[in-house]
Amino acid sequence: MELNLTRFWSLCKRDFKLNLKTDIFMLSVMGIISGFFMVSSPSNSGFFTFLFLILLGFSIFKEYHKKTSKTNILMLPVSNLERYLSVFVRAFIYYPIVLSLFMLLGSIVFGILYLVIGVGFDFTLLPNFYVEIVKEWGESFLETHFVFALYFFGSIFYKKNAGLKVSLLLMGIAFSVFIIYFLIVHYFFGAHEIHRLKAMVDTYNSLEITFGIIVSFFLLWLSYLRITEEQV
Amino acid sequence: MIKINDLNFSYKRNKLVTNNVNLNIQKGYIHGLLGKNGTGKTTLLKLIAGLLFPDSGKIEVMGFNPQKRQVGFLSNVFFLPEEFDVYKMSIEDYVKTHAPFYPNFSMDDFDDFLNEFEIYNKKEKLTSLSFGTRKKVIIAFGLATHSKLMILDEPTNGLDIPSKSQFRKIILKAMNEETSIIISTHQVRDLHNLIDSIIILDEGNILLNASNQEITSKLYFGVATEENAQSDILYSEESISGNVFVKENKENLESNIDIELLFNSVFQNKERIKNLFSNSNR
Repeated sequence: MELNLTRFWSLCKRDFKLNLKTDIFMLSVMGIISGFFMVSSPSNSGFFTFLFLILLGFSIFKEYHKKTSKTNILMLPVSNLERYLSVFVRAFIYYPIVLSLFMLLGSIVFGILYLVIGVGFDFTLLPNFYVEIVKEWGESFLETHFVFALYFFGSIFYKKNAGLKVSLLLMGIAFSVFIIYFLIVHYFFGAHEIHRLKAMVDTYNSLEITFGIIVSFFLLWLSYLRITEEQV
Repeated sequence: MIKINDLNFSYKRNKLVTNNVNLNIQKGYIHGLLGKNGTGKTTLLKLIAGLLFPDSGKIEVMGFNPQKRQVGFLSNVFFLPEEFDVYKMSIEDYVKTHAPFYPNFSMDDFDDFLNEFEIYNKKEKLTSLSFGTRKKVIIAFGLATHSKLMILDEPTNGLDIPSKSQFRKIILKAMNEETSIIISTHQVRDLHNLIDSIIILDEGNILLNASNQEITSKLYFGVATEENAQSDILYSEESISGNVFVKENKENLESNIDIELLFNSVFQNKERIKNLFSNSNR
């Protein structure tokens, strides 16, 4: 595994430059929409997270989705690790920072708009809203990091329409979990004893966290392997 | 420079694209890779570049296994695919963002090559250029990287007639004893006076791999008139100047290679050519 920081930085700059227009367009639209939610209903950050997931799924490994562009990135003199890390940095550092800045910008724009149309808006509340939402978003990321990792992996695995395919996969997984849960409740506990199952699940909360972390690392590792195995 | 042993590759099961290929490619030469459509030229080039992985067999390029995509390998290989993607950026920006990855890149040479191709405005966006001009920019960039191995897949496709001769001129200018260039094409006339060695591929097999010198020492290319009617010829066809032909060069006569004629004679006499070059097929 080769990692040269100068080369890695050159690769990051190249990637940012190549994706600048698309990224800024998507992030600004999402940021402004999220800014609107921040002003109108600050607690509604779930929508914001969902949009971020879709963005990640659809575009993060975009250069690997087409044969011709994949040739360019695979023939570039950088290591597989550097290729992987540059995408990782874009997804998990660059996107959240730029997105949150656009969200702030969007909320200011909507705040001004509220003032113009006479609804009124207290701008002194904005910093609090902002900190609160970023905090909430951070917490929801910590709880659902394996979902992010799944979208990240999905983008290099499914390539085209990855966001959609991973969403369908997630729905499938959620549905299967629900069915399994339902069957366990029905056959082993009985409807009136559901509280016993709930207590058991709560007991294994730390196990669930550990399992989530393992799944995330596994998916991120699989994404790296996928890059090393890419062919044109 | 390139050693290939017992290489097998298939896109689908039971349909080998390269079939037990053994090939040695020496450095310091321009090699022409010829073959009919769909015979595996592009596949072989992609395998050499590490863009495809072999099913079995071994490829070694400058001591590297291409499949591993090590930086030392990639910074010395430039691959120009037949179809390629350009970015929505100016020529200037393209160079700024990509040149840092190639330690031997020379901006002066790049400017020289662009001038040869009559491209003067580096502020122009790559996406606003014609296909041929885009290709010229990428070729100029590739040659300016001074990579030890240049792999060019159908480089003259989409180039107009003056650009084809500019291309030949530039390739010869960029060539040195440390560089090897593999040019795959089915437009054999474009390689006239350019290549030092010829590799002919047929259904995943190497039919011929020989230097120009070896070819002319074993084959004679001539024009038959009524007065000097030839016998024992491998291939002949009518042309304005008479019947052009290829025959075994038993009398050690001197002649110039006609690539098109060679290509056709190889395909008409596969076994005979294989036997004739069995010692020189490197």
